[in-house]
Amino acid sequence: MKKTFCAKMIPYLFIAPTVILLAVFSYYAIGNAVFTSFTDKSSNFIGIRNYVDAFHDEMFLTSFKNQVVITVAAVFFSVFFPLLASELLFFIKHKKISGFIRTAFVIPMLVPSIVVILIWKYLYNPNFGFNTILQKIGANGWIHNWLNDEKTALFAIVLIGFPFVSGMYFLIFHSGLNMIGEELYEAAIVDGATNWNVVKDIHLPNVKPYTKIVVTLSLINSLSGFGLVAATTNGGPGFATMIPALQMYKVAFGDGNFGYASALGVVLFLVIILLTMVSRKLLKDGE
Amino acid sequence: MRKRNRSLALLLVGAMTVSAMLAGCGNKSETPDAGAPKETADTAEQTGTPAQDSDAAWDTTKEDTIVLSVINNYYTAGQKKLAEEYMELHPETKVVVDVVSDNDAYMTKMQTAFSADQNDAPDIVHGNFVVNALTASSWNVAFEKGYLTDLAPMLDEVNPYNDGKLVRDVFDPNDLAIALNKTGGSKMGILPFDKIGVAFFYNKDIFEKEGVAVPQTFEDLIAACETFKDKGYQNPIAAGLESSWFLNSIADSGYRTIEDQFLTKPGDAVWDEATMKANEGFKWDPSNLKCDKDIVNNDERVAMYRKENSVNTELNKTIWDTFSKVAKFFPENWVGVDSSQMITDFEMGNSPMLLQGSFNAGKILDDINQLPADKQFQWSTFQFPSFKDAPQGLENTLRGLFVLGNEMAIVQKDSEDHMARVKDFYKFWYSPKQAQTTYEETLASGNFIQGPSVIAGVTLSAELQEKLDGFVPEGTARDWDGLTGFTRVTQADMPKFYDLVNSLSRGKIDAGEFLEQLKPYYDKYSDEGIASAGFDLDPTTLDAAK
Repeated sequence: MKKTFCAKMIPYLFIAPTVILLAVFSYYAIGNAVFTSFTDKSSNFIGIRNYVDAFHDEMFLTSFKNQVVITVAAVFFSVFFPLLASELLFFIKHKKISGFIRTAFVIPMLVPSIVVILIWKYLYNPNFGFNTILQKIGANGWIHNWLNDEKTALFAIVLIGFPFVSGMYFLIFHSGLNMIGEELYEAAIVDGATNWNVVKDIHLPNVKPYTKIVVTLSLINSLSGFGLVAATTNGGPGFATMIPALQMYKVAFGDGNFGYASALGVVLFLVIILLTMVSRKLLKDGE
Repeated sequence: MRKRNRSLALLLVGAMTVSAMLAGCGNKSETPDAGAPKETADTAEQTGTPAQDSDAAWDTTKEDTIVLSVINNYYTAGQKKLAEEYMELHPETKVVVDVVSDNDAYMTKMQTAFSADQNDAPDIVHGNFVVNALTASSWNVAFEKGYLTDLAPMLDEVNPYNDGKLVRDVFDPNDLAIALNKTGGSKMGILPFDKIGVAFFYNKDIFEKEGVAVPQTFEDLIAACETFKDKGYQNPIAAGLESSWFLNSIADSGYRTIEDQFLTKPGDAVWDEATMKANEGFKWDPSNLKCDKDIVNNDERVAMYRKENSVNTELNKTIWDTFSKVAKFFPENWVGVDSSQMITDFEMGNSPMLLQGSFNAGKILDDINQLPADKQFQWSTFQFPSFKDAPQGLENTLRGLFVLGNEMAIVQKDSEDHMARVKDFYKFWYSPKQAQTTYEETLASGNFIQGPSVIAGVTLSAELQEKLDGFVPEGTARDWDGLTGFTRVTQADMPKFYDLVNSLSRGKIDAGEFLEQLKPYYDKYSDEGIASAGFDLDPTTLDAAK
């Protein structure tokens, strides 16, 4: 039966509002930011000067180095610990216990991330938290002003959220392991495979698509978010823990210099796209 | 079935009729009605105050909202109470107290509020944040650009909330002069509300235990810090960003000797005989620490000095070098740490001294009183100690800080009706009875007061008053941050500035290197300020802000 013109148009009509809103609020905004990146504080066109300034800006370069450290750690922690937790849970055969542990891993997900960050900030307080524990166990030499010393501040930020098992990434891996067909395990038993063989030869190859998703999501989250750093050190001491997104925010809303902030944003945008493509390519090659 | 449908239809019609009636009522109250009777003073009589609304300078039949934008914890509870009481008197004016979390967020809010339609900005704001965020700290540019309202004419208006006295009647003329000087010399951006001071808080018990005497001189202070350091106190002085006022006091001991070159002089375009008479022939008198209290600086002359000398001068080198001798006893990253952490260090006995403002005296008093008996301690304050032998270029006596605190300004809006309401609320707030309410409610709620009130008739508890009296210095230092370069960089460059200050405080760089590295950021900020003010660097010509 041949479809009428109207019938053919219906899907387009339904998707049109979304596309229009996306175009206005996302693509127009991106285009406008790219245009603004070629202007100065008074909106005069200045060519690529903002980009040249960005690559001569010591703080911006430091912020990129910091971002690399934070992102590498974030991606590793997002994959390793949730996957490890999912594997351990997989081998717990007692249904009630595994159900309890699964729920226990997921419940902290309900706590807003800013609350988690502030709790960690309290733990790093020079007078309370970890320092109190260290004092009680007699390790006074280890007592430290964790977030206010440039030698430890970045390291302290990276560790926020330890042991990194709760939340969405754990659920993704957990679902991934449960999607693997029973026939593979039966074959493994016949072959006399150990638990380690199961993990290495069945689980890891089969959760690769999920790993790809987790890597992409954690990469984007880490590169574009700045709440963690803003709420803990605000980029300090000095600019020892500055990251590009936070610097961009300070330039735009601290000084009203939207041209330079947009240039920083465009560079960050390009880096995110590039890294996402690279990571997907790397994971694809092994599939 | 039919019967049920009929009942449903009746119910719907009934609901629609009631909705229409309610909507009609709503419309009636919102639409200005020339024939409607104006509000009587009944409500006013009940609360024992103001002018009859029929005399009001705004249309009392029309509803409007005014927004008071403030920073969290400072007088917040008192301001909310104030708003409630005002709305009881004037139900047609809704007062919203918009509480912003911290200084940084407030700066950002001012940037965004004024970059959009100014008529939508909050009505009463911390004026010092507006000028810091928008006009490179120049009040004159803020007036010129029409951001803020000149409150000087209001002084001679009647305050209906103070038995018909004039607005100026509750202020000490000296405080009004400070407000005038602070905000440019010819216009008044704020009216005085309170005064803040900064001093060293010290733990009397620790001083006694360690056998350290209260420092009488700058040299004693350094010696005391070294003693405490030797005895295992990692940070002898708990200090945050407020400690820059100690730097300012050191700077004052040098810059005041040359301050005549920064004054508005006869023949300058902004010269005003009425307010600047004290400038004529002024010379600093070292025997009279208050000799410069009535003089008025000229922004353009200060800008000329900055342009000509930049920040890496010999005098600044001496000032920063002297300051770094104390700053090395401050905690890591003192310039970026929030005050609450420093206060905790002091309250827990980790630091025997705390460099802080009077605005935290109430909190500290309260905190220490609430500690378990065995953790409580005796504390007091001492003023910035003067030099025994001042470095070359500085005078021996350090003047302290005792300046106007809560700098509330009124944002300029187009609607006269709206402005009349805002000014009326401002007068309400700055009346003795309501200022007292603000203080009492603030203290009762555990919020901070900034310091003693300067509005005649406001009193505090004897215990708190005694603590606050310790903040009154021998003389008051003028503000020299613009010349020392402290935080005089763009917001985007602020982390770099903090990094340099941290490096200087930790002895990684010396004052000369510090100033050399600060120079490009400082010059950029200065140039932006000059461009924004439209200065041609000739004080005899009138300039227009851009």
